[in-house]
Amino acid sequence: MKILSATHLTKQYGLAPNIVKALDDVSISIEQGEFVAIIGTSGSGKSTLLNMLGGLDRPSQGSVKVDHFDLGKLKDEELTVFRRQRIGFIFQNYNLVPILNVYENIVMPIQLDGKTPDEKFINEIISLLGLEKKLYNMPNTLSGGQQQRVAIARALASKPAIVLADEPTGNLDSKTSDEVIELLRVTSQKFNQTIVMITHNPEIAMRAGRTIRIEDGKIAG
Amino acid sequence: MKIQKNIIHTLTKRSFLANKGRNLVAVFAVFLTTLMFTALFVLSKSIEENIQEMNLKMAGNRSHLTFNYLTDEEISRLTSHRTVTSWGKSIVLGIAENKELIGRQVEIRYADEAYAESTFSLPTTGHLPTNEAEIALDTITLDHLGLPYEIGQEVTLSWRKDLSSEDYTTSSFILSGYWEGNIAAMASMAWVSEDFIARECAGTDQKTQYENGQYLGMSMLHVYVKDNKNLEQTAEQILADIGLTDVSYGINIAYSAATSHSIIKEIVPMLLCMALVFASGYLIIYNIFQISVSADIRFYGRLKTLGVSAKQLRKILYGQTNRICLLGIPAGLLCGFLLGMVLVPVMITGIEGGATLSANPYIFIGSALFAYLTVLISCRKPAKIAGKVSPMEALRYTDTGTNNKHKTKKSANGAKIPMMALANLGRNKKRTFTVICSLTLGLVLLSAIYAKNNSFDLDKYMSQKVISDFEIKDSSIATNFSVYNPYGMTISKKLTEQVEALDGLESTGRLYCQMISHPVGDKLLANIQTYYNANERISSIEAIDPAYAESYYEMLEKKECSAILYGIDGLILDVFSEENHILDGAFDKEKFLTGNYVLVEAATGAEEKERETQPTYSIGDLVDINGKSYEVMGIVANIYDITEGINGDDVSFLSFYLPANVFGEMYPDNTLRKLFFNVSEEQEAEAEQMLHDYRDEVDQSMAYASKSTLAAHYKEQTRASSITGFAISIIIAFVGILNFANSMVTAIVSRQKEFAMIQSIGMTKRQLRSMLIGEGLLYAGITLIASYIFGALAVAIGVKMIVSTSWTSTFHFTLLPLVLCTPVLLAFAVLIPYLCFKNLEKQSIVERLRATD
Repeated sequence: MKILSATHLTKQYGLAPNIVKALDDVSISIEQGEFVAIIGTSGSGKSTLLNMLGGLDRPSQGSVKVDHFDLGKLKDEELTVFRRQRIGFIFQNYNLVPILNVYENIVMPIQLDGKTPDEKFINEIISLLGLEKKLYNMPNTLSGGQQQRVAIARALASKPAIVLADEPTGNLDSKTSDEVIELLRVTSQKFNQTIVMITHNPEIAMRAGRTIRIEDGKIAG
Repeated sequence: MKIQKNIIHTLTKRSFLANKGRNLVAVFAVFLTTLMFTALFVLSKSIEENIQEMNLKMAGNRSHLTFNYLTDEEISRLTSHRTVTSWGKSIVLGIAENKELIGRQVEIRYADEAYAESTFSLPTTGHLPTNEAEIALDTITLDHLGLPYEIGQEVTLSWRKDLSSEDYTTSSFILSGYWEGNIAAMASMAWVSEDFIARECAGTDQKTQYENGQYLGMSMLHVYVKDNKNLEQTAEQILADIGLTDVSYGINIAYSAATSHSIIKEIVPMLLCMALVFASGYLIIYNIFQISVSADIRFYGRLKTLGVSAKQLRKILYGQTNRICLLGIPAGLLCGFLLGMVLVPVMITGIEGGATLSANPYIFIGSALFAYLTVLISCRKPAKIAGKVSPMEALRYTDTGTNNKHKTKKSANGAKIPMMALANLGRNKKRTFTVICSLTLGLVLLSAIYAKNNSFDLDKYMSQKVISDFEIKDSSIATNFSVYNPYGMTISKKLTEQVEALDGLESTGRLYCQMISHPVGDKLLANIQTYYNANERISSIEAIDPAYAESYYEMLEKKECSAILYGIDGLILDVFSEENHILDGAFDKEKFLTGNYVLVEAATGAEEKERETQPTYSIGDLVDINGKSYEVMGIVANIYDITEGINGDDVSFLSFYLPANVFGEMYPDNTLRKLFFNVSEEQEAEAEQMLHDYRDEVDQSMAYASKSTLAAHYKEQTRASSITGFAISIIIAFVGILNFANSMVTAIVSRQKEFAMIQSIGMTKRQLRSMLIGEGLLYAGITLIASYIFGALAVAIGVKMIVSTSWTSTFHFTLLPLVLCTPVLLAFAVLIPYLCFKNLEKQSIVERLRATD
């Protein structure tokens, strides 16, 4: 089942004559349960693509469809609600809320939606990610790897259609990076969770189920 | 596992606690704003209530309408009318005519509690009479009777049942209660029981009593109606509805439109102050939240990427402001009320028995509402910004104005420190502007209030008020309740001798006075009519004072009027020689003293108007007084200090001045009305002591006034009213400084990383420090320039305009408070960045560079 499709995506920055095309007619489609890595060098447009897919930014041209939603047709407030219901984000710098503890961070998107967290599912994620003992810690008392594991738990907690991971290992050492990628792979399999990950590291990209290479804003195979 | 009920609530609470410093400043700002609002509300409400109470006391009762001389049947019809909400009844017996009570009307009556309450005559100690033998009196009556304030005393009053006979009744009572007498009221009440009335009135019929013009047994009614507006109409309506025609009623003037206008006039300055408080509150609270939203924008952006909607973000922000208000407002209300308690007695003077503080619940509701509104309005924009933040931008946002309009900057000066400081201020022009406004507001206000107060000219005031260093008045003109007695004994021979024996006596002035009846000749009549017909004077007098107009028409008809004849000498003659006092003709002292000339008084004072015909004789006319002719030498202005006092019930249309010796020949028994005298400055205290001793030892009714005590008294009064102005402007200025400190501190803290970066590429600590101090000095500099410009404008235009309408003021241009504040502000401008820098220094560059959240 196709869960995400992007067609003819173009994103331009700046005004003529200084137009920068960050994305240039990109079309991709992703199936339910896939673990996809988008790989490209710095400035290739991969982050821009991810932002488009997650509804954080709007394309200049083209459309993005996630789980039957046409993102271009959603208003800003609807887009916010869409994000917290259908997309789980994992950022390079973790983006944990500093004033909330680990558990609160994990369940925040669910509660923002006014729903009660599925305790059984949450506990399963927490034990899978090995966070049982850190639940009441504040983010600033955790190591980078631990913080990123919290971010992964948070991304999974609302059972989103897609988890989008933007350089999830960018700030981590190689051993921790390995662990994080392994966790992503495992969860993808275990929960049949679609994950789209951006990286510039070919080794990490190799671990994904499929790799999409992007260069100068275009798909390079 | 603990379930979080509401994540928004948690976020609100935690971020409130996470920003303790900022919130403390905000709570303090809200506190100050509420404090000022409350103090102003307490003041205006107290002013309103005190004026109202004073008017009611002068009117003698609280009720809306009074109906006099009614029968019991009429009362029951009146009180059953639907517009009447409550009422009180009194039955008149007569007037106490004991010898000791001369000079004070004491009415013997029965009253129910509502009536006694309404006339400010409910016993505060003891109770209203319940049996025939009891009576309740006020302290004024007790004083007159020479009785101590003690329940159970025997009181004997003599009175007449029939006012047309000389048949006195003497009744003895036991004092059952007393209360503080109301000196402003025309009469005191002596309450007796209903039983006593019943006994004394037995056999009289109210209707026949009324027809015979007798008061005994007649009832009076105080009525409260639903709406205290249009009372005359209401009264007419009630009487028409119940079919009573010949009932006399009175409207309480304390509820008239004119009275409410005078109250509004007193309160307008307070409203103006409130507007300023709102402005200053807005400027700081807006700035605090603007800064905090900018600082937290990444946080908000992050929340947004995680799915917090704009509405939820605004909720978080408003949740925090509500917490701030919850802390700041109650504290502000309390302290504001305390400040009001201090200011009210200082502001409201001249109230019998001291001003009462209003603790009306509306004050607190109003102040809290105003303060909360200020906060809400101040937060609207920051909340909007927080709600609108786009997640992508927020993550990149730095609080430095990314929407820089300038694409390039033509400057070849390189990065010089002062230039960088200036550029830094320009990074957030709006904030710089708010801070400068906030500071300027307080400083300009302070300057304006100072200039206004400073313009008060005591000499000018005194020259209008008194004509000599000391004056002694006959006791009959010392109060507003008594009529002048030409044979009064206050200024006795002994007293005159003592004055004349004073060391350093420079001059004296004697004033005698008699009321005479004066025939009005045709020429004089023409003058008078010309005057009263001009500018529709007589028709406007008719509207305001019908009795006066009646006397006027009577004069026209009878060709006769009552006149005041003064005898003057000494320094009074010198006062007449002064400019502005002679309106027409020329005053020659020597010629006047020959005894062949007379001065006549004009209707108007020394106003700067075109000369018009005065309602009196013209220059050169011959005036016949007591059988001798005098030539009119000049027309003199009415100088209040000479003419003050009530001369009788008749309206006098003319006033004549003759030399004292001429007057003395006419009226050898006449005593002095007033004695004016000047002493040398060194002897003033001694003269005052002499008068003081004389009053204490010889004649306690002797009234005197001295220029120095009058001046001290007035100074105290003006100082009092200026305290409020200064208090408010100092708080506003303080809010400005708080705003400045807050902006400066947050601007430095939020740029930690940037400073670390600049330092890492080679800026020395010393350079950084001078850059920060430079920013502070620029702030102060711009503020001072703005304050000097606006302060000068406010003083030179605004204050000058206000001052020019006041006869007690002379305008002086001054910006003294600004000059005094200049070094203070500059000191703050150096100190705050310096302290921030000290704090910054504690962390190493690397630490600061790495620091993220």
